[in-house]
Amino acid sequence: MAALARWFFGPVPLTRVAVFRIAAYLFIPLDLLVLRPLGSHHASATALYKPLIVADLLHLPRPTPELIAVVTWTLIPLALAAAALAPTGRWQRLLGAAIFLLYVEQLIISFSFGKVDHDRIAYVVALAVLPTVAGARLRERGSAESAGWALRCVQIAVVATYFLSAFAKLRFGGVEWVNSATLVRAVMRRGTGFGRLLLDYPWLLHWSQWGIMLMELGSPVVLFLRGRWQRVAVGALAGFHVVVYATISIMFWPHVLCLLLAFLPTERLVSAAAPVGGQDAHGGAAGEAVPVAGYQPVDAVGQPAEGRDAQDGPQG
Amino acid sequence: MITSGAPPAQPPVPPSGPLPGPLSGPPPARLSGRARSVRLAATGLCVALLVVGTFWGDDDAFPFGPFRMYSTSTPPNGNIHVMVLEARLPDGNWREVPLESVVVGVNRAEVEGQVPRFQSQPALVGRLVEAHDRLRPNEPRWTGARLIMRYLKLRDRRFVGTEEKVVAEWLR
Repeated sequence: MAALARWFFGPVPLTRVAVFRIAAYLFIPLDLLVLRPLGSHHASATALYKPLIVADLLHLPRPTPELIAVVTWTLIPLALAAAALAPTGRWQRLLGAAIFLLYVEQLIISFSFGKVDHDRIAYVVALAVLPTVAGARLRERGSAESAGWALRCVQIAVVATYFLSAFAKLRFGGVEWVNSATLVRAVMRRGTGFGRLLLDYPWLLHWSQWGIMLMELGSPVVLFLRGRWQRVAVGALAGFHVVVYATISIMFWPHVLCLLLAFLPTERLVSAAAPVGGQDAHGGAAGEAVPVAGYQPVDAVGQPAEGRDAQDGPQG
Repeated sequence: MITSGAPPAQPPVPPSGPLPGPLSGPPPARLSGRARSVRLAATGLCVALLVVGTFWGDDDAFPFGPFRMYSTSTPPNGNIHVMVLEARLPDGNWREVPLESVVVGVNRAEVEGQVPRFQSQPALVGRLVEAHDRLRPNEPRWTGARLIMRYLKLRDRRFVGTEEKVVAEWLR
């Protein structure tokens, strides 16, 4: 139990939460206006609405062009405000909670037209947990257990997206999925010029299916790697998404955002740009990474093992 | 073993200052026992719902449905299904048009996700035509449209030919 608690609640620098908030909230206008501007299109075809279970359970209103517009144009300014205020840590809980609820409503509407995207769960989890961390300024030297839990949840959701999809393949496609022509189908339906070149090498697509299945089943390992190995694994997963994008023009944008921001020590971006401890007695100078108190087990990247042990809960 | 590599991005400490020990900043903010319990319970509940959705749910169980991207099997000698939209132009000719949300309000995957509905209510094809009227007011109004399922036939994972079947048709 103690090990589980340490794994879930190992303190993480609050700066990492602030960086995550800025990126996650800036993603919303990008998503709604550029990457997936489905809302405005759906407004022209509300007759094709086919509600999700959750929409019925919660008695959510049937979408109208007006409702879609209100949700979209409330979300965008709130997200911009939250991103702008994130460096100060102010209003994050209130704004974050409102954004979470509105974004989920927006997703429920847009997934109620016959197609659900599977790249959103980690991002929805991120929107849910980011408001649970109090404060979290960008130039902050502290760390918090609440931040550790929040980022751990996003990490679990990222991994679940791979791991559970392996079981979905076994359930819907059967064990023969690995020997099927599913990737040929993917490329024939929406292959890029590069992807279509692969149709001449069907064995490559065939064996890629084995690789995907193994990668997905093995994905939980990334939760337990540390330091350089974890970064290599995260880089490999990001590389997988780049290859998918290059071949069939599908990119899991919000998922990859969560993959990078929940696993990588992004606080170093801030300390490298302007040291958080620049004015303190330790004489930290520009360009230096300043050790952060309590920055420990969860992702103690680059910290020697004894250093991490020494940080284990001085306050009990 | 995993963390025994040289610590990256940890430049040498400047000689002017004392070694900033790992505990040089404020101590980590702790969570109360209750706060921890609530968080663990919420995590456990969500993970459990996701697992249930993976094995017993479907896409309409979002956000706890299965992650079923490309989860079905296409036999190496089977057919690939592609939904196609054809519109009847004012001159009476039929032409294939993009089945995209910017043109008809919904995209191909969404239409493919509602095939039985279009089959039982062909009038829904008319909604696509009306969406086109709204989204592309400067284009000629279509006088009809039909959804066609195109089957791309495979032999040994290679494309060998095409067949088509009308799923639903609507005329203005």
